[in-house]
This record gives sequence, structure tokens and C-alpha cells, in this order.
Amino acid sequence: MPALFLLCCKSKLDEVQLNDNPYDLEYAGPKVVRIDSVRKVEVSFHVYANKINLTSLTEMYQGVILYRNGVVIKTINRTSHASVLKESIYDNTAVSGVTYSYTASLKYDNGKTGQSDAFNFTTP
Amino acid sequence: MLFKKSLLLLFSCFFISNTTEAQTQGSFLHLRVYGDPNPLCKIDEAVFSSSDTTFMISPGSHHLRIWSPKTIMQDTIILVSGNDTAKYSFMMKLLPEYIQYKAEYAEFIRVRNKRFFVSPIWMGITIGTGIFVNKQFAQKQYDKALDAKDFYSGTGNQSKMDEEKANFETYKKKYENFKKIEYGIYGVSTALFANYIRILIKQRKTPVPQFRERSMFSGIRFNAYPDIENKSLRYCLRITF
Repeated sequence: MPALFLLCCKSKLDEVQLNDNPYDLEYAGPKVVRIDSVRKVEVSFHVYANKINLTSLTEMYQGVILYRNGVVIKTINRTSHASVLKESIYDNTAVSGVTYSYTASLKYDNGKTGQSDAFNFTTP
Repeated sequence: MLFKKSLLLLFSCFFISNTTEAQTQGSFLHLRVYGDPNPLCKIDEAVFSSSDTTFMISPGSHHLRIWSPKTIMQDTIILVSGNDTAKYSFMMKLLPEYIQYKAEYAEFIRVRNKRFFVSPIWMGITIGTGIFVNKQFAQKQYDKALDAKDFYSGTGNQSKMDEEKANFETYKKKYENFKKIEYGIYGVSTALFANYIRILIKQRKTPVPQFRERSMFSGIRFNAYPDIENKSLRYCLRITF
């Protein structure tokens, strides 16, 4: 009888999990940003940079933070407002022949998501 | 000549007056009975059923009896004077057993109505209270908890998220407490319903008070007595009315 009583009290609130916000330190879902590709491009006359193309899996972000070997090297504000959330960031300080490990995270308010999977790229 | 005419006129007046008086002569009895619409009346040996009647009757004393199934029988002598209408009114008194039956039946109806209607009223009140608790208290806490969840999902600030998590847990706890109260009230209503079924069964088994009306045949008495001269047994049926 008490079990039946408690069963009656079970509600949808019991199914609510407060760990689905990617900016939460206790976030337990999939990564919300990924690096699709990195390639070397000429940004101006004989000036080259690594162009990092990434995709955000959530619309809730205000900017992107780029890490190189675990260190923040650049932060940009959101430029894409389309449903497909593509962003591009340029690493202007890359040196030819050096392999870098790039990761990225999203930022919103004062928070940021966890870093994406690392993308290793050797600058040609 | 004038004397003859006057005598003739005087004689005519006397004759007409006597004739008119002879037409209105006779004794009447106006009998009015209250308390029963169709009492059985018996004057001497004449029996009739009426509660308001006037009829011609011989002057003198008469034996009057009035009977009805639910009242005490009236048994009295009435006097009717000549060339007059005697008016008699009788208020029939109810039999003690009929008065007792009326009281028992009224009590039966009162208890029956109480059994039929009190429990459903309480059941309605408890169910209404349960719904009220749900709508006015539990649902509000539920909505607040979902709002906290939305606020949590809509911010990137860790301290704000922690605050909304705490709010969510608080509202959820309050919601669960109100739901426990609500289901407790429904439990009371269920108990009342079960008790109502028991009461209905009890009511069904409660006998309805009955009043056995007396009939004229209930007054029949059987007598048997020996006839010594003829050496036989004689039988007699007698009605007291």
C-alpha cells in the first residue's frame, strides 16, 4: 500500500535531469562543438594561417574559444545565426612543419562548454 | 259582502301559510367529520360513508358510531329535535399505534435520507478539496519547478544554474508534499465511498415500518356456545361495529 501510494506521487518531475546544460560543470551529454577540418589558407599576400572550421550543435552560444595545445589562442563572437551553425577561426601564428592539437569550446554569459575532441594538424 | 270577502282572504292566507310550513317540516342532521375523508358512519342501523352530509332523520336520540382504519372509533348518542337541523362535527383522533407508526416512519425516512445523502456530500467535499489542493498548490509548485528547469537550461552562468537547481529541488519537494496531501484526501474519499456502500447495504436490510390498517372484518368475533335444550353446539359471528 505505501509503495502504491508513492507510485501515485511519482511525476514527470522525477524524470527531469538537471545536467543537460552544456555550460554546466556537471553536464553529462554529448559534446556540443566539433572541429570539422583544418587547412592552411592564404589570408593576404604571402600571409598564411590555419583555418579551423567547426560546427556548434547548440544554438545557445555567444562565441567560440579556440585552444591550441590546450591554451586559449583566440576568442570570437558568434557570426552564424543560421540553423546550420558553422564557424571559422584563423590561427595566424601557426608555424610550418609544426603539429598542433586544436580544440574549441562555446561560451555563453560567463560560462563555457567543455572542449571538443582534439583535431591534430601539421601545418604544411 | 265586505265581511265575506275579508273572511275568505283571511282563510286563504291561513291555508297557504300552513301548506308552506308543511313543506319545510322535518328533522335533519348535518354531520361533519374531520380527520378522515371517508369515514364509515353508522346511525342506529343505517351505514354510510361520508365526511360531510345532511339528511333527514327522525327526531329523538340516535346511536352514532364513526369508524375509519386509522382513527379511534367515535361512539356516542346524538339528539335531533323536531323541525330543526342538528349539526354535529367530530374530530377523529388518530390511533396511538398509527401515531407511533408515523413517528417510526418519519424516523426511518430521516435515517434513510441521512444515509443516502450525507456520505456523498462528504465524498464530494473531499474530492473537491483534493482537486483544490492540486490546482491551487501542487500544480503551482509543479509549474515553478519547470520554470526553474527552463531557467537552468537557458543560462550559461554556473552560479545561476546552481541556484535554479536548488530552486527546482525545493519546488519539487513542495510539489510532492502537496501531492501526498492530495492523494491522502482521495484516500479518505475512497474510505468514505466504501463506508457508503456498507451503509447502502445496511439501509437495504433495514425493514420499512408498516402499519396494518384495521378492516371491518378484523372486528369479527367468533362465538360458540352449547344449546342444552336441543343438545347441540351453536355458532355465532359478531361484528362489533
